[in-house]
Amino acid sequence: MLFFETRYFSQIAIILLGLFSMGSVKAPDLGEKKRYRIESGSRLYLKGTSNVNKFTCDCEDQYPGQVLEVDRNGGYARFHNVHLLIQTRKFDCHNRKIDADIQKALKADQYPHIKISLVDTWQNPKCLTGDFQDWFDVQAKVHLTITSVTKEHSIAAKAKVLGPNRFQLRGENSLQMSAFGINPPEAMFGMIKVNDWITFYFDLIVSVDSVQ
Amino acid sequence: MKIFLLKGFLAGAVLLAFSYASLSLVVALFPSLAEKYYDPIFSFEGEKAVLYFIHPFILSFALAWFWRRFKSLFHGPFWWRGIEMGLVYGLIATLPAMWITYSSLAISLDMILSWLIYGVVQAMVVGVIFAKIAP
Repeated sequence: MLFFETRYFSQIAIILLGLFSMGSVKAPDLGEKKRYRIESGSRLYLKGTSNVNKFTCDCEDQYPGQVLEVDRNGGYARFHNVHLLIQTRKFDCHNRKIDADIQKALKADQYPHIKISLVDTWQNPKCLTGDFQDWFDVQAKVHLTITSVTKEHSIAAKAKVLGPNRFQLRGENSLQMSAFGINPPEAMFGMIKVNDWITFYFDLIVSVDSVQ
Repeated sequence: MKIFLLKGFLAGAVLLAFSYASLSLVVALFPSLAEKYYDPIFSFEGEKAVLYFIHPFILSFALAWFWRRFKSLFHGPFWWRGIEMGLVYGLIATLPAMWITYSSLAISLDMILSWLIYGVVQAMVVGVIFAKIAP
């Protein structure tokens, strides 16, 4: 699950950054399309703990460019039909036992994908000008479906404009596995238990292209 | 025969409790060692799990036979006879097994040492029980 959430947040990050690429447009933009791509050097990972150790799950997947459609009004953007399906078998926690247990907990055979639907995002519109050089806050709302449970979730991030078509996005957030009906993995007859809360981290560099 | 079975099941039950308590202590006191059990080479789940719980009874019945056959060689108070039997078992059985395990498998030294100590203490516990109920 950990990996999937990192991918999930990476996808969300791509979408979030779409906001920045539009510059300081005054009037609402309806249905504008942009293509976003995560550059090499970006990092996605998450950290979890058990009663005996800590573990990190790295996302080593490649991120092809995606075209997304948003309605934007100042610092607010609403997304339409942005559904992301993430394979539940691609993650690397550097321990095959943890990998296998997480896939089992996610019921990967029965539910091969995690679905993420982006709802909307907010940020200060003043930060979208090319003159703003500092990090600024971005807030997104998504619907996340794991196994058969759907939850609304907010993601907080920091963003920075690196250039006319490049952005950096950093952030972290914590999730509770049991909120999605997932029993945290256990080992050694339940003596070793993965804690219910996990925290994901992302540090992404994203480039943006216009779509005709 | 009745005493033999009684000894085997009694010592096996005590060993089973000792095994579970030992695992709990490892998790509580030596988390870095316990972490090494979170590895694909260890299988505590599925149908094989029952074999793990049968292991204490395999050992207790084997040592019951050993005790009946060689108890006349151990002298002194019952607790010392039990400890001595545990040391003999550790020297003859556990130490060579752990040696070959460490030399041929990718198992860490601290884990091998913990198994060696665990095996010897197991045999000591059984030995003390046998020396007490079947001197």
